[in-house]
Amino acid sequence: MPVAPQPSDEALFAAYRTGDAAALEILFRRYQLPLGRHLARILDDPATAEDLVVETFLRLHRHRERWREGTPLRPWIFAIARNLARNRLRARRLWGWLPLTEAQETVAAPPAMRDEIQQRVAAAFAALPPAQREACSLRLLGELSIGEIARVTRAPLGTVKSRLFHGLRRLRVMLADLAPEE
Amino acid sequence: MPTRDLIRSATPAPDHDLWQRVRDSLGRDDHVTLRLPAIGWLEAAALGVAIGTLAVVPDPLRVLAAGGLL
Repeated sequence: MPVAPQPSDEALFAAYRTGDAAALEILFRRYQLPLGRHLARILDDPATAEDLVVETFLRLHRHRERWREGTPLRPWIFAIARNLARNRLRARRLWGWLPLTEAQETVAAPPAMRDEIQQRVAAAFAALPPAQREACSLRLLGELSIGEIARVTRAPLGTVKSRLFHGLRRLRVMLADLAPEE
Repeated sequence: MPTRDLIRSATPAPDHDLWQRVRDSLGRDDHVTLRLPAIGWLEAAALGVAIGTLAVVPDPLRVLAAGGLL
C-alpha cells in the first residue's frame, strides 16, 4: 500500500491559519530538533535555545496573517529565530558590562561540564567568524538549503556559498581526528 | 563518521517535548494588537505642513492660536 506523501510545511501552516490547530503541532514537531540544535549552537546555551524555539512558534502564531501563501515557510521560521537569537546575544553582551555582582544574578550559568567531543565541536564553531558559523549551523544543524540560508541571512547566494565553503573546510580540519573516515 | 553527523550528535538538542510549552503559551497569548491607520498622501501632506509651519514660522504658537487651532 503506497504511503501518502506528507503535507508540506506551507500546506500545514495554511491549514493552521484556517483553523486546523493540530497542523501547528505537526509543524512544530518537524522543527523542534533542527531549530533547537541550530539555536543551541549559535547561543552555546541549550536552555536558552529551548526558550527561543518556543518563542519562535509563538511569533509564528502571532504574525500568521503576515505570511503570504506561496512563499516558503522554512526561511521565515529561521529568520524569526535569527532575530530572537540576535536580540538575546545583544542582551547578553549588554549584561556582560554590568558589575559582576549584578551580572551574576542575570546571566545564565555556563553549561555543565560537557564531554570532550561536545567541547571540541563547540570550540570549532566558536573559532569560526560569526557569518561562517551561522551559515554552517544553518546548513548542518538547521538542515537548510543554500538558497534558504541566503533568504534567512539576506546575503547573496555567492556569499553564502563562500561562507559555507570556508567554514566547512575549517570545521573538517579542526575535527579531522574525530571524523577520520571523511 | 562524516563531520556533519559528528557535529549533529555532539550538539545538544531539546531532549524533551516542548510542544506542551507552546500550547500553554498559545492559550495565554490573547494580547490585543493595536494598529495605526495607514498614512495616506493627505495625512502626509498635513504632517508636512504642520512640521513646516513649526520650522519656518518664527512664532508658531501665535500663528496656531490666531488660526483658532490652539
